[in-house]
Formats: sequence, structure tokens, C-alpha cells
Amino acid sequence: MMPREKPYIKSNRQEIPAFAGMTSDAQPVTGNRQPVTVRVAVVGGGPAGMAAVGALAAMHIGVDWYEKEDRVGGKLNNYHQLFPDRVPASEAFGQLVKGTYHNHIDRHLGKAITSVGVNAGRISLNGKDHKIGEADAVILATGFDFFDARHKEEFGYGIYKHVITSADLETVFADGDKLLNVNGSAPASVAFVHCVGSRDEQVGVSYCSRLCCITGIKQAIQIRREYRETRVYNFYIDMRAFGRGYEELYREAQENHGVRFIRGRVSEASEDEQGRIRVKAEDTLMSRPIKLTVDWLVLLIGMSPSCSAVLSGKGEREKSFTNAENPLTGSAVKGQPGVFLAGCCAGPMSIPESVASGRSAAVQAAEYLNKKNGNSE
Amino acid sequence: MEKLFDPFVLLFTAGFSVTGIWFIYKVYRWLAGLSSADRSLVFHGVFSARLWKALIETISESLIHRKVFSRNPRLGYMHMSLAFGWFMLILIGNIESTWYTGDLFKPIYVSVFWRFFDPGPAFPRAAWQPGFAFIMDLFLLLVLSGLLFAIVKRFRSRLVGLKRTTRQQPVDRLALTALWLIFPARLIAESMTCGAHGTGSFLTGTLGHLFSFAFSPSPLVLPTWWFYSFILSSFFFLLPFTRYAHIPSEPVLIFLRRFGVRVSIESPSFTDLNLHACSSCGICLDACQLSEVMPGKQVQSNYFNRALRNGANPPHQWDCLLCGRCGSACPVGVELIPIRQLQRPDTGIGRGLQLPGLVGKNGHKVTILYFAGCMTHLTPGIISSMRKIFDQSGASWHFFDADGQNCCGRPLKLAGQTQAASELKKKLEQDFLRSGAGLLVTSCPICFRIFNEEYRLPGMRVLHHSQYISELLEWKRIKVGPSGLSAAYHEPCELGRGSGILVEPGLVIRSLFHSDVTPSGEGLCCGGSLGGVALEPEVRKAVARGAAEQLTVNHPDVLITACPLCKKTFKPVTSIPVQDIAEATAHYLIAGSSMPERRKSTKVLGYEINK
Repeated sequence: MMPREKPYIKSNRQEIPAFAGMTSDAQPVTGNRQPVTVRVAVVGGGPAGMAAVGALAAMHIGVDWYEKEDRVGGKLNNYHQLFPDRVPASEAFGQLVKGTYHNHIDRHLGKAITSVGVNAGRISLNGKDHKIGEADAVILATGFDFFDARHKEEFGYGIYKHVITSADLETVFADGDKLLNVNGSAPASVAFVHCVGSRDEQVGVSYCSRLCCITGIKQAIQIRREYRETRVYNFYIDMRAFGRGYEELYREAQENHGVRFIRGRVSEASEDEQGRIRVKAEDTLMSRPIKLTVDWLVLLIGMSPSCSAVLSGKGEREKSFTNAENPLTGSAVKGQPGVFLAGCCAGPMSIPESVASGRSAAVQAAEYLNKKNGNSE
Repeated sequence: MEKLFDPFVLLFTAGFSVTGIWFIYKVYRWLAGLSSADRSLVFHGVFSARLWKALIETISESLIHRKVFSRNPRLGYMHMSLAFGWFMLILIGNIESTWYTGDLFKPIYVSVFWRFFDPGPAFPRAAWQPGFAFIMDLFLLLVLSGLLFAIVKRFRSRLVGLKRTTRQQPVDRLALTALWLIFPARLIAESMTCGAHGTGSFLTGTLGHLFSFAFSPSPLVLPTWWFYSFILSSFFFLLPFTRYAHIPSEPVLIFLRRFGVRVSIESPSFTDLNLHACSSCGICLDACQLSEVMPGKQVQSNYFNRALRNGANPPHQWDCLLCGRCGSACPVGVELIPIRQLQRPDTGIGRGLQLPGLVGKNGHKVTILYFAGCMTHLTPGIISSMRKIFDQSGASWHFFDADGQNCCGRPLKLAGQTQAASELKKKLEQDFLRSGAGLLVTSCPICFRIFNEEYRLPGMRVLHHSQYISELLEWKRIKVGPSGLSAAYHEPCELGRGSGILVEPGLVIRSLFHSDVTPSGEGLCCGGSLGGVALEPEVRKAVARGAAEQLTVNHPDVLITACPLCKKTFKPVTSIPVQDIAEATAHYLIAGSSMPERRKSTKVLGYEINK
């Protein structure tokens, strides 16, 4: 009904030169043309999928690689710099995509897999209303969806022009756009709201999305670097800076960049006459209510599952992250032999975690095939 | 027919006296405990046409059980056959005994055990002559058929159209057993007598005849009557302490209600009467959505009433969402929600909260005040739609709580903070009136209800925005284009059932969508209500999910509601878009449809309209 407006997502974005052309068929491919007998399907072209196909090909396993968009890279394509070292997303993409130009890998772009069926050792991959392919094993690397911020209507996303999500802001940075106030000059203040669609029973999300805290820290620093005069506030429940270099970045944000962190949830936002955003919150450390008017409100949206819909074919409402059979030690899916999970479809993960998870799933798939073929001989 | 006495009648007389004395004492307490205002209502009611209306309602509800019938014919038959059948047995037994004795003022047991004292004319011919034996058998058969339904209901409730039945406490089970045994015991006692004397009609006569084939009934006559008297006595001994107290209490409730008495803090005895009139029939169990999502937890009103009646703390008192579905389903008309609210003591929830100072809006010449309400501030889509609608209609309006600092008081009231609520109310009343506006429009049914029911705003109309939009459409102040879509409507509890606003939302929705939406006042609970103070989020979510599933069973393009809280509750649990009625209106508004303003005008609806 309501058209979703993402002010900074442009449909005709330019390819970023660092990896433009790599998607074309004219690129050199590695690997000899020795025939392969088993084929593994990898569903999803994001970091976990790229890592998985690269590892499988290196083990001389044939790969059918499915991606619903017409290019690989997933959400990495829309990111600007990656925390904590501010490595350009294009650089990480370049490193990952290099391993995917291999003779054993067949790319199937623009193919959305909506369900997989396991039948007597063969796995069929199905689209909305027809079968798309078959494989001996499948690695699901379907990633995550951004939490739909319109479900937290009190923040006014989609209603107020100056309320955007962290994903939108990343696109602003990636496109080299400016984040200006209503008068066209540098913003006087920007506020970040943590945990939008994470740890929030009201919208039915009880888990922590883990990476929004560090995203908020990184983006706050980025704004402070770009606009020296802009005040930046981060409203958080508690800060979870768990990864390599995250805590250091959190300190840096406060000590070197003067980002203000306020412990307390934002209760609601409204728009004033000029279109600026009025924020109501509570500072739970000082035990007092806060009212603040900012030029931009950035919602640090959480990660929503997108994978179990593929597995169970149950549709939108039943979405949840998929559990592996032994989540501590492996990523095989219970009751579906030959199906493995990689990356964020098993839960919120950072890029290095997704990559490790993709490679791990590739090894597990190879082990599974070895065992299966050994048994059948 | 020598002496009309036998020792076995003493058992019955003792039991019946217990019930009788209890009832007289209770009626005295119920009347004495009314406030003087309510007592004068009763006094005036007795000498008015209301008395007759009450009498008719007593017959149609206490005996015939019309409301149960209209809801569920099988269950209605069960209640009717037991109540009406038993009543007729007593009435005709009395007429028969009076007919033969000529004594109107004989002891009660004489008519109860009449067949023992007078076995009647010989079977089969004579039963037809005065007809008494035949009629008595007919009603006994009616009661027995009802008993069959009751037994089926206890073990297979679905067969009588109930998903769940009340879980009985031990004393209720005992009384239930006694009640079930009364009529078979009567049948056997009467048949024994008839068998011994060769009398009786088609039921007792035939059965007596069969008995006399098998054995000699004469020596068994007295023991069976002793047994019947014992069973009756047990039932009447237990009655005051069980749910069967509703049998004498319900007519009293009907009369007092007809006279205008309502549950209030001033008349605590009326609450007690309501509690005693609850028959624990269990109809509220199926009406309550929490039965589905909190199985086995005794949240529902029949359990609540029972606990209160027993002087215990009602279970799950703060889990109830106060949606009111039980109240409108209750065939006895027990005021379930008012009773629950009175039981919410000042818990201190929200105490110590700094209530923000209210901002007076002086010198602003406006004709309409718009009060969004705190919940609407969490759904800014509704506010921006209302802005659009107000502006389009050409109204001179003022956004009263633009800074979101005002509370209507109802959330506090629902949480048991009556005092704080009334302080807020006083302040807000003054500020509303000082504005000089003639119309108060609110987007929130919760605010609407308290403004409507409790605020004193002389000279000021209070409308929910669905009513306001409906009037704008009617006066052609705004125009909407048809959306070409289908819609389902969720009736917010405070708006539909709570305030009776049904017609206007239906009109607005039908002018926007091609669905024939006719609100009925029987809307579901969305699960988001402020009434449930203690309910777990998962349970709320399960209620919401269940309601959304029922509402969207025909796969509408959009689910329309008229309450910010319902909208927020439904949004995460359904894939169908959820919109407030104001948002839908604003979305399909046709621009430039408002009339040009002229100087000579009269005030209608709080804005200027051409003469």
C-alpha cells in the first residue's frame, strides 16, 4: 500500500571501478578442465556464498552457484567501509570474488531458489513454480534481510523524510552523497537509535543482531570525520562491542571523535515544522527524560532471517533463523541430509564470520560427499 | 389420602429451609448494600412499567434461556429443558395438589411429593381425564432429555457446541451429582408408586407397569421416596455454596438491573449479586481468546467470579486484556468488565511517575481540537493522515497534544490508579474548555471512551476520527476515490464494543473499499490492549496472531482498524498491510474537493460551512 521510500537508494547506481568488469565472462578463469562427477549447489552470492564456492572449486568439486540478483556480492555491494579497520567494501569484495572465477563454477544469476527438496540422496532446487536444478549437496547462504523499520512506526521511518536506516546511510556514504540538513548545509546534529528490530519483544524479536552496535559506532565516527561541527548522539540499551578491534573503536569514538553515547531507548520521534526530527528518550544513567531535536535520525536496523522460508517453504510469517543439527560443531541441517548452512541464515554474523562459515560449510559438504560415495561403492 | 405426612419429607424440608433462609438473608443484604441513589432507583422501579419488563425478561431468560438459544440452540435446549421443565413440574405439582386438597397454604413438601400422597387415577385411561399425570410426565421427560444433554456436555462438550466447559471445584461437582440424580430419583420413586397402585401416565405408568412385572414394587416405594428426598435435600443444602446459587439470584439481578442499578463502587452488594448470578455456564470460555493461547490458565470471567465469590484472590487478574468479549457473550448479562475493573486495586503501577504539566492553549481561535493521544504518537502515520484530512476539509483546527505531553487518564485507570486518573481528567477538562472549540476529535479509542463517558465538556462534541471522517464524507467536505481493493475491518474493543461506534467506521470503509464491512460489536481482541498489565509478550502475540488469522481469512488486500494500538499490534504478525481508517481515507483523498469558505456561515461540525 504505502510505497517504501528509501531516499538514498538509487536504482541506476554505477558499478564501482575496483571490481567492475570482474563479472564479465571475458575475465581469466583458473582451474583445469578435468571432469567432475559430483556437484554442489550454493544458494546465495554474498560473502558466505562467495567463500563457499571458492573453497569447493579449490577442492575440485563442481559448483552450481545461484544468486537471485543479477550480480554477486550481496549486501556487500551497498556497503561503503567495513568495521573496524574501515577497509573499503569493494576491496573485501575483490578478495572474495577472485576465488569464484574457476572452471568448476557455473554461475546462475537472477535465479531465486524458494525451496529445496531432499529425495533419495538427490536434492532438487525449486523456484516459485518450477524446478531450477539438482545437486548432490546444497549450501544455503541466503543471508539475512534488514529489519523493516516501518514496523517501529513510532520512529517514523517512511513517514518523515529525515529518518533513515543504517543501510540507507551506508548507501549515502557509498554513493558519495551528502547528508545535509533542511537548509542545505551541514547537519547540526545526528542521532543514532540502537536496537531497532533487535531485543524488542514488541516486534517479536528477542535476539541481539550483534553488529548494529559496531555499525553505529563506525557510522558515527564517519559523520564526525566528514562534518566536524555536527553533534552525534547514540541511544543504546547496552553496547556490545565483541569483535576484534570493536571495543577499541568504541573508545576511539568517544575519546577522539566526541560521539555522545546515551544509555536509554528512544520512545518516539516526531517531525517539527521545518522537517527536523524531535526525539523523546530517557537517559537511564541520569534517570531523566530527554527531548532532542536533530537534523537526521538514523535507525540501526537489525538482521531478520530470510533462510528458513527456503528450507520449509512456509512463507513470510514463519521466518526464523535456521538451526543446524549440532550448532556448536557443524552446520548440517537436521532431517535434510546434504543441506548445510553458511553465513547469516544461521544467525547474525560479521563478514569474517560469514566467510569462515562459508568455507567451513564447503568442507563439511565435501566430507559428506566423500562419505556418501565411499558408502555407495 | 389420609394424612399428608411421612418422615422422609423432613429431609427435604431441612435442606430447602437452608436455601430459603440463605436466600432471604441474601436479598436483604443485596438491597441493604445499595447506595441510597440506587435504592431509590429500586423503589421507583417497583411502581413502574419496568417491573413488567423485568418479569418478562425473567421468564424469557431464567426459564426459556432465549439468549443462550440464539447463540447456541443445543446449549439453549439443555438450559431451557432443565430450568423450564423443573419450573413447570413445581408449578403443575402445586396446582394439582391444590386442586385435590383445596388448600392453598399447605406445606411445600406436599406438592413436591404429591405423587406419593396421591398415586392418581388408574393407568392408562384415567391419566387423560384431569390430565395432571400426563402433563407431569411430559415435563419430567423434558427435564430428563435436558439432563441427557448436560451429561453429554460434561464429557463431550463439542457435541453441544462448546469447545470448553468450566472446570468445577469439588463442592460444585457434588451439587452437580445431586442435581443429576434428582430427576432419575424422582422418576423411579414415582414409577414405584404408580407400579404399586397401577396408576400413572405414559412414563411413570409404563415404567411402573414394567417394575410390577419384574418384582413387587410395594416394599420399595418408601425407600425410593426417602432416596429422592435425600437427594433433593443434599442439593438444597449445597446450593448456597455452589454455582447453583445463580438459580434464585438471577431473577433478583434481572429486576434490579431493569430498575437501573449498575455495578459501582458505591453499591458493593450489587457486585455480590452479579457474582452470585453467574452460573459458571462456561460460555465466556469460548468467547475469550486467551483460552486458545493460555490453555489451562483460569483467566476467564467464570473463574474470576468464582474466586471472588469464594473470597479468594482472583487468578490472573492482571492478565486480562479487558477486551469485553466475555461481557457481551454472557447470557445472564453479568457486568463482567466493570466488576474486573473495580477489583483492580491501586497497585502503584505508574506511581512516582512525573505527570507532565498540562499546557493551556489560550487565545487561539480554533473550532476543532485534535487530540491524537499517546498511542497515536507512536503511529505518526495516523497523525500525518489526520493533518491531511483536516487541511483538506478546510477546518480551523488545532493540534492539542502536538508535543505529546497529555494523558487522557484511561491507561492509569485500567492499571488501577483511579485517583491519578481523575486528577488528570480535571486538568484536561479545563484546558479543553478554555480553548473555546466546539468539537474534540481524537484518534485513539481509549481516549475517546474516557472523554465520552467521564469528561464533562458542556458545549463540546467528542468524536472519534472515524465518526469525524464519516461526517466529512456525508457533508461532502472531503471526497475519496474508490480504491478498488478489498478490506477487512478489525473493530477496536474500546470503539466498537466499548463505545458502540459501529455505523460510522462501516460507512467510511464501504466508501473506500468494495468489501461489505458491517461492524457488529463482536470484534476480536487484538492482544495489544492496555488492560493486560501482566501478560507475557508471547501470549499477547499469540492472541494477535490468532485474531489476525481470523480477520484475514478471506485474504483481503488490506486490514483496516481504527485504533493506533491495534495497528501496532497487528503489523508485525500479518503479511497483509494494516492501515488505520484515517490513513486509508487520506490515501484515497481526492484533492480540491472542499468548498470555498464564505463569510456568512454557520458552525456545523465545528468548522464553517456555507449557508
